[in-house]
Order: sequence, then C-alpha cells, then structure tokens
Amino acid sequence: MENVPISVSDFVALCNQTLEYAYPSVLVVGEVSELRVSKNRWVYFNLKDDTSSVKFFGTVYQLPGPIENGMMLEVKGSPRLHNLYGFSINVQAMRPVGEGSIKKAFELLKAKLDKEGLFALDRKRRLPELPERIGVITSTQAAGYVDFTTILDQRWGGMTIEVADTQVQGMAAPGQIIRALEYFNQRSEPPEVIVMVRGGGSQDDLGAFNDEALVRAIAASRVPVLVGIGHEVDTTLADLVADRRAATPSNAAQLLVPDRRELQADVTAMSRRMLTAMAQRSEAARRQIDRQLETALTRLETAFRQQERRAHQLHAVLVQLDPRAALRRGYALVRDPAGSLLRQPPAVDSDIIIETNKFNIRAGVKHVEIRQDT
Amino acid sequence: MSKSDKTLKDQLTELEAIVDWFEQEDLDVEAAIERFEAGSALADDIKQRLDKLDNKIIVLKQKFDREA
Repeated sequence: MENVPISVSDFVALCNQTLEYAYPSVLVVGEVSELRVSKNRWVYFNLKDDTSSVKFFGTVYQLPGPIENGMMLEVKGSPRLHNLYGFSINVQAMRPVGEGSIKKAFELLKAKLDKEGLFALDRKRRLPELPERIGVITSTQAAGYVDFTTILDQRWGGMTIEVADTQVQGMAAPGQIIRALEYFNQRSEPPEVIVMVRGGGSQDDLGAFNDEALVRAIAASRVPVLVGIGHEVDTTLADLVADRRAATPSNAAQLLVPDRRELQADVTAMSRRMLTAMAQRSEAARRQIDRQLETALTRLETAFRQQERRAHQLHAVLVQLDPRAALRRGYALVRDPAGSLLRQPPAVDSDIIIETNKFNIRAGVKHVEIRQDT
Repeated sequence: MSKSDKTLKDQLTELEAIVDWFEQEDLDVEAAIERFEAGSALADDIKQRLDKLDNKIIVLKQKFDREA
C-alpha cells in the first residue's frame, strides 16, 4: 500500500475514514487559547497544555456561556482532517472544568444575563395555588426525586405528576433538560407548573444548571418553573432565572402545595370556632332570657306587694267595722227575746236581751224614752 | 381532582363563609342550628377528602437524549 501513490484528496478521505472509525468521539480537556468568534456563528479556539495545542471548531450555540482564553474547558468532539485547513476537532459539546474556570464562566454568564434582565423580579410568575397537573424534570435515579415525591405525597393529593427522566449532570444534561422543557411547553395541554429538582453536589456537578442555553430555555418557558437544586447554599443561574426558587427538592414540594395535615387542623379549628360561637350565643341568649325573667318577676313582686298592702288596709278597715270590736270597746247589742236586734222601741214590761262583750243579760223594760237627736 | 360536583376549594370557601356567619353579631338560634349541622358535615367531608387524595405519578417513556 505504501508504494502505491494516492491523491491528496484521497489521502484526506482515507484519514477521515480512519479517524471516524477509530475515534468517532473524543473527550479532551485543556486550556483555551486563541479564541475567535466569527460572524456571531462560528467559534474557533485551541485547547492546549504544557506541550501541545490542538485546534477546535464549533458554533456559538454550543458554548456553555461566555468563555475566555485561559479557562479550562472539557470538550467532546470528533477529530477531522480538513481538506484545506488541516487537523481540527469538531465540537459536539463543551463545558468549563476546574474550580477557577467554572467560577469564571459563572461570573461572566451571570453578568451577561443579569444585564439582559433575565433575573428581574417582575419577570417571575406566581405558581398556581393547587396545581392538578405537574411536570417534573429530574433524574429518577437521583435522591432529589425521591425526596420530592415523598414529601409531595405526604402533603397533598389529587395531582397528576409527569416525570421527564433526564441526566442532571455532565455534558449531555443541559441538552436533555432543554428538550424536556420544550416537550412540556409544546403540549396541547401543558402542565400548570414545571419543577426541576436534583440533589446536592459540587459546583462541577451542578454545572449543567449554569449552562447558558438551559438558563435561557427556563426564561423562555411559558409554563412557570420551580427550581430546587442541591442544598440551601447552592445557587445556580437556573435558580436565579426560575419563577420560584426552592432551597432543596424537599423544599420545592413544600412551596408547591399546602400540607393537607395543616389544612385538616385548620378545618378542625373552624369547627371549634363554630361551636364556640354557638355556645357564646346560647350563653348570651340565656343571660338575656334570665334578665327578662328577672324583670318580669320584679314587676310581679311589686304588684303583689301592692295588693298585699291593699289587703292589709282593707282588713284593718274590716276589723274596725266588726261589731265585736265595738263590743270590746264597751258597746252592747240589744236584741228582743227572739234574738233580732232591737230597732223599734220595746213595750214596757217586755224582755230584752243585752249582749255585751263578756255576758248576755236578760232584762225587763221599765221605761222607754225616744231620743230626739237621731 | 375528585369527580364530585364541588371542588375541594369550593368546599373550603363555603366552610369559611359559614364560620364567618357564626362570628357576626346577631344570631337567629334556629338558623344557627341549621348552619352548624351543615358546617360540621362539610368539615368532616373535607377532612375525609383530604385523607383520600392520591397522586398519580407517571414517568414518561420518552427519552430526551438526542434531538429527534
């Protein structure tokens, strides 16, 4: 084979065939240098280390965010021998690596997006109060998913929860999450809210949630997005752009729905309020009736006392009129022998009966004188 | 949610209204008894519904790895 001459183009084709067969994809890490963006579409840069440097070629859409010379980048790509411009690697995906680069990339992107107003508070929409349809984007293998669904089940029910299973770290993650977001958004009946959760990890692990394309996709989502990533202290750009941010996946469940146990306690309290109000009103009614009763009784008593006094008075008068009282005072009743009171003058020598207080006297009439003063 | 006529939200709003009525000034005793029974029944129903609420979790079969 070595002795059979081939054309230059054939040689290029042969190389590429071999490369494609042997290295369909490689993952290379190195320091960015000679970065150049052309026509706002094409990106050219080198990755280098102490002794070597290789050319890379890609599009701006593949950038994880603004990058600079000096940053450490991990790039997935396919090596090619260009027919004119030599060897280079075609970028498939890339992300910053190493604490310094990650931090730098984060700061650059944060500043850029902040300037565009993506993190503005008035952009954020309220989450629905009692959502019935929820879309979740997470890795079903991750701890965050189990925490979220467990607490959600405890707190509330009656919901339909659709889970899009994606990677939540690594280079493939942003693309998958973006496609899941688009899937939910493009449905004829989209969920009322989209929840993005994953458990804790290093800044590197959470890197996907600082990817520019992903952050923009969250901003563009017509469905409100609730993000619950990592632990309380972790803040990713996804957290900043989301409509609502939860400290953790568990916290996301708390923010999303009320706690049915709390609500049951509230309902019990409401029953108690009714009962108390009833009791108070009955008490008040009873007191009012008592007061009315008392007033009535008082009046009756007064009336009775008046009658009593009147009766006493009449009795006193009667007592005075009682003939026996007269007798006690010394007067006498005079009757004829038949017993009737004497109203006509008696005949002389007839008998009369004189009734005094203490004794009756039968006496004979000696003389009658009719008095003039009657 | 549930297939019955009133949603949970409606029931809660109704119960709130009944309790508010109780805490106003003049109570007609007969109306109070009626509403108390309605309110208690409503409260029990709500609590039961809250207990029974279940979630349906569907893991989508879709894969999101490559562009379609």
